[in-house]
Amino acid sequence: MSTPTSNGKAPLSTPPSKPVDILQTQPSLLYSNLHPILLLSILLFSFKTLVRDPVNTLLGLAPTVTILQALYCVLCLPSTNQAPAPPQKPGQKKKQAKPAQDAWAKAVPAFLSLLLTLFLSTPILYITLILFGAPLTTHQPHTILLALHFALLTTPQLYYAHGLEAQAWYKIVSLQLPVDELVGMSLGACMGAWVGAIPIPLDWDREWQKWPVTIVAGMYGGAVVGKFVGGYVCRGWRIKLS
Amino acid sequence: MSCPRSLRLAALSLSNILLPIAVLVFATGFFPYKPFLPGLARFEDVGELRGGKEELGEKGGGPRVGAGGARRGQEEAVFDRVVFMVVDALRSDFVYGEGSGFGFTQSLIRSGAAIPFTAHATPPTVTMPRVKALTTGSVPSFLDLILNFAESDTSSSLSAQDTWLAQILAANGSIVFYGDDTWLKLFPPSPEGQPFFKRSDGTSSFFVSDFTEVDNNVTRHVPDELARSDWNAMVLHYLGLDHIGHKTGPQGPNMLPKQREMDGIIKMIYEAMEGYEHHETTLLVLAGDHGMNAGGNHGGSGPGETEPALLFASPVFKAMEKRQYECPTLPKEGTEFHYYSKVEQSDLVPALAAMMGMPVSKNSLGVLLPELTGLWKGERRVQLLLQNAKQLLHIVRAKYGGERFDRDAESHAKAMEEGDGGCRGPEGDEEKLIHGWGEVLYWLAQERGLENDQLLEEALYRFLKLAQETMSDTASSYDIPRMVTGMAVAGAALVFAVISSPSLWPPGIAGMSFTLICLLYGVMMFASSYVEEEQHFWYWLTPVWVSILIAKSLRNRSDMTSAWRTAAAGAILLCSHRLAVRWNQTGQKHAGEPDIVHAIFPEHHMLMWLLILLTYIMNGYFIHTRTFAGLLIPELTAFADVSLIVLATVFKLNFTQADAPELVQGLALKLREWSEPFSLVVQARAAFATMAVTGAGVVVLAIRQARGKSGQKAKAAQTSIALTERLSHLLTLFLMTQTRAPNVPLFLALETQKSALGWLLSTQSSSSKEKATKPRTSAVEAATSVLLLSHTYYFCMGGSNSISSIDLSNAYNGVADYNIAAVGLLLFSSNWAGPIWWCSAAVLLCTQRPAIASRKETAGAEKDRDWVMVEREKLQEDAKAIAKQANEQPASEDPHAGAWFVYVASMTAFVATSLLAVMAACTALRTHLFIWTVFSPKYLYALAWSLGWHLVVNVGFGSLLYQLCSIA
Repeated sequence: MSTPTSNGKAPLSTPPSKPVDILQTQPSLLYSNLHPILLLSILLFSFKTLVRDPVNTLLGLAPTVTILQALYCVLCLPSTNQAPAPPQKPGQKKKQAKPAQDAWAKAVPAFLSLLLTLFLSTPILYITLILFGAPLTTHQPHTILLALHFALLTTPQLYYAHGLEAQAWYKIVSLQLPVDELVGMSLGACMGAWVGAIPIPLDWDREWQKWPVTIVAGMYGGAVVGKFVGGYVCRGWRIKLS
Repeated sequence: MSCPRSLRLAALSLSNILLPIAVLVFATGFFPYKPFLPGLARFEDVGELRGGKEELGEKGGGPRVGAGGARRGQEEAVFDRVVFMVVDALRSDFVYGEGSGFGFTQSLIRSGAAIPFTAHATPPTVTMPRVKALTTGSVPSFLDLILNFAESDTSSSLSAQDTWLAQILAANGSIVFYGDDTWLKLFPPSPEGQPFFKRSDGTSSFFVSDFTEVDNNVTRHVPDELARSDWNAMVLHYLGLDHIGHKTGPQGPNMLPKQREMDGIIKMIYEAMEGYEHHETTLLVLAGDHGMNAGGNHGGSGPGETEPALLFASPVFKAMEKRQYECPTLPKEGTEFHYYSKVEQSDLVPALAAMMGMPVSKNSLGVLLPELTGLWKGERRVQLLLQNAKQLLHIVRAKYGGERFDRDAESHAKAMEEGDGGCRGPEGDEEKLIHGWGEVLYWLAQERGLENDQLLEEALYRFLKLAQETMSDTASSYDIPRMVTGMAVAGAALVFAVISSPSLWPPGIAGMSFTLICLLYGVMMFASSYVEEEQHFWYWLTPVWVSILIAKSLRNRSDMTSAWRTAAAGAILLCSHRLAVRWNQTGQKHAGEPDIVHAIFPEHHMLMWLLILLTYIMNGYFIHTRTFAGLLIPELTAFADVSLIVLATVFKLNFTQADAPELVQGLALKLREWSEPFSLVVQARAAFATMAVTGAGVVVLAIRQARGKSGQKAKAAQTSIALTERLSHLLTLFLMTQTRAPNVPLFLALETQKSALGWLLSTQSSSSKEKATKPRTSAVEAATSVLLLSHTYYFCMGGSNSISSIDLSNAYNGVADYNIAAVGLLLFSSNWAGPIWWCSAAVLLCTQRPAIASRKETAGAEKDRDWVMVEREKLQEDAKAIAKQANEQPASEDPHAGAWFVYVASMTAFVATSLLAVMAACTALRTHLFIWTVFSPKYLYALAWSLGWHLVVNVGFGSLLYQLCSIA
């Protein structure tokens, strides 16, 4: 749990940010709703093999999830580069929501987001998983792949929408961003993964109780639920921690 | 503020008064007091049971059991002497299995001179209740378990009860005893000073690392005693095998040699029985009091724990008509430890009584073993069975009411006579017993003859087995109304605890988390696997709570530097947590799997001792700089500090050498040689005494200083440390003394976690107004953190919800004789060291909170100082400020004064919830398979947490510490 920032002494108080709007085009709306269904269905589709052979299944699923998340970023989200978020007036929204002309302008930040996910989020989340009780001396490939999926579900969209700014990440880590789809999905995946640990110690002697099947299932379920709750039910809420 | 402070105080007090009442009321219903029949059994009791039965008997061709039975019993005794050899934790496979060290014993079994059994030991499988079962034949109640640890308790003595030993004494016999001194406590001298045993030598099982002395101390008496003929029973209780099990498990390298040693003693006794004339009719009984599990521990009912061996040996058996036994052999298919016939431990009592011609002890639930009946001819056999049945009938009648039972049984017998006995199956325990006894009466009334005798025997066995089963079944004797009352009282305590909480609405994140923890914990109590693996619950919640604290703390930091500090504090908390979690593997499912203490330290004992030394040095540093700060001249401070730490360290070293020599090996030989003249008791007492004197001195000096009577006013102004913190480091030293050596380094983790937590909990809010409106969040946050960390450390120091995980090794530090209060205190403080430590940390955290107002102003000045030290000093100043404030205006107006109150109210709410949940689980699942193995031990632990940790430590000790803040 540390903030990936470089600046040492910048003041941390900034004006409150607004929830991220997804692009209002036809394909983006369509894919935004299709995205959770796709995520859930690939998990359900491969659940049996996941129980039988977690390492290879998680490895095989990773490219698919990567593509799904990349599509989500490119199709549905405004990128930090193209849309400098803070000064937005209600009237301008429709103009900004138009699809960008140059596909490169979207593909490059999406690619960078995934790169950061792989090389920054995955190690950090691996350490976090270990600190939260993942096995350290055994099951290393399992946990590394779990961290990869965890990172894929939680961070590409955040990198894509918020960039690498210290301010933004300070707000993300201290849960000060207003609730939207992205925050909902990331938080939902975290909570789902956490709740997913519950069945492991029970004495049911089921094959699927083994590491890390329940965590993966909880993570995907949580991400989907979180995306829905963040995008529709609690949109714009601010998380109180007092 | 919903109601005035005085009302809330009253509600909280009431809640805490109701807690122990709820615990006790429920316990009396859940562990019912079993009425036992007083007095010694006599032959006349079973002979003249009732006139009616005699008539029935006479109808069938003369009295089968009459007053003459008594004399005949003694005349027809098969044996007149018994050697009763108990080998602690002698699991069945140790004697009967392949690869056993009991070669000679196995040859006895093969030759027919010994009859082997596997005797079922009912949980709790610890020594004292098992000795009770083996001598009285009754099934000891679960409460005997508590008495097992409170060994000096005289109410657990068997002197008032009917045992086969008492029967031997009643027949003017005499008994000698050598071995575990539990027996000497169970059989104390009579009030007139007459010793129970003619000769005895007790051995205490003080250090489980002692494999040889405990047994040699017994064996050295055996040859002399075998040569004598002035005793009728010799009881030997060997402890070494149990110690080896605890230390190295059933596969340990010392196990086989120890088995051979025990086999050698059996050989010596058996050869004496063949050689000496006065041992012609001597019986040898070899019995394990309980078994052991795969980890070498016992207490519950895991595989192996309930299956000790039981074996009768004598040359007389060779002539007896019986089946042949193979040995060594394999256990019954599908079992691990079930060899030969499986019997109850209580069956030993009627067997001994029959073979030695004594009446069966009154409260025995045993059944005469069918394998032994070959010793007697037809008529006598029936008599013995009838004697056994009538003795059991006494207990049955005491339970169901005598008159009615007899009437119903007779009417059943009459009905059988008329030929409609079996027309409908009996329902319920009582009716089954009535029918069983009715059948016996029916067959008693029939003409004698070979076939009828056979049928009578069968009817007797059916009745005996049924009575044994029914009367041993404790499930039928719950007192449900009492249990419900207990729950209602616990519920009331919970309601009052909630009422006493100052601000319930709107709930903050801490309040919601705390409530969620309570609810989840309550639900968890109904899942047996989660009760066994409770540690996962706390290990799982703590990191998430820390994350919430980090996020919350980050929000309150206005600059990057303090944000990084927050991240660092969070990382320290999480890393220490993760490390501590792997320190000791606990729970049932993965018991014995590698962890830091058991996989790393035995191989790297230098590393362990370096960490221990570091911990002691850290503690010494704190005592030097915090405890004594500004109180004494530096020379005196240094002297006191060094003597405290050196005494404690030397004791720890010598204690570990005695308790777990494999962790010391060749270390610090000089130091150990030098301290050798002083016994461990003296060393422990010296360490404790130094701590007590220092504590008292610090209290006196600090109070004097606070009142301005001290001459060192200038110094006092510089370093104003609250008395609470001064004492907390001494408490740490005491708890370290009470902790097993491998766990001592955890105190390093505890100290760093406390400092990190202090930083995370301190609010650096930008608007001081906001703080004023919501002053209590921090107290609930502190309560939540302390609750989570207390439980985490309880489990990571090796605790669990199983009886076998209780660590007795530090319970006798400095105690020479059995002093129940001292042993209880030491036992609790060694097993609950982590939670007790967190209670004192909670006081410090609670007094730290209100200080934050001044933080912002001084923020600039303290920038380049170590934040931990800043935090610490802040904490002190704040504590004093707050305490003074509380003193000056104790009215409800002060929003900060209630931090400790809120903490206690929160803890009370949690304890009440957990008690209620455990009680409800025990009531709802009272017929569950695991009620005696999982849920009852959990209830005992809930009792210890609520009475010991909550009432004594939090409410009592913690509040005292909190009050001290306001004094100095």
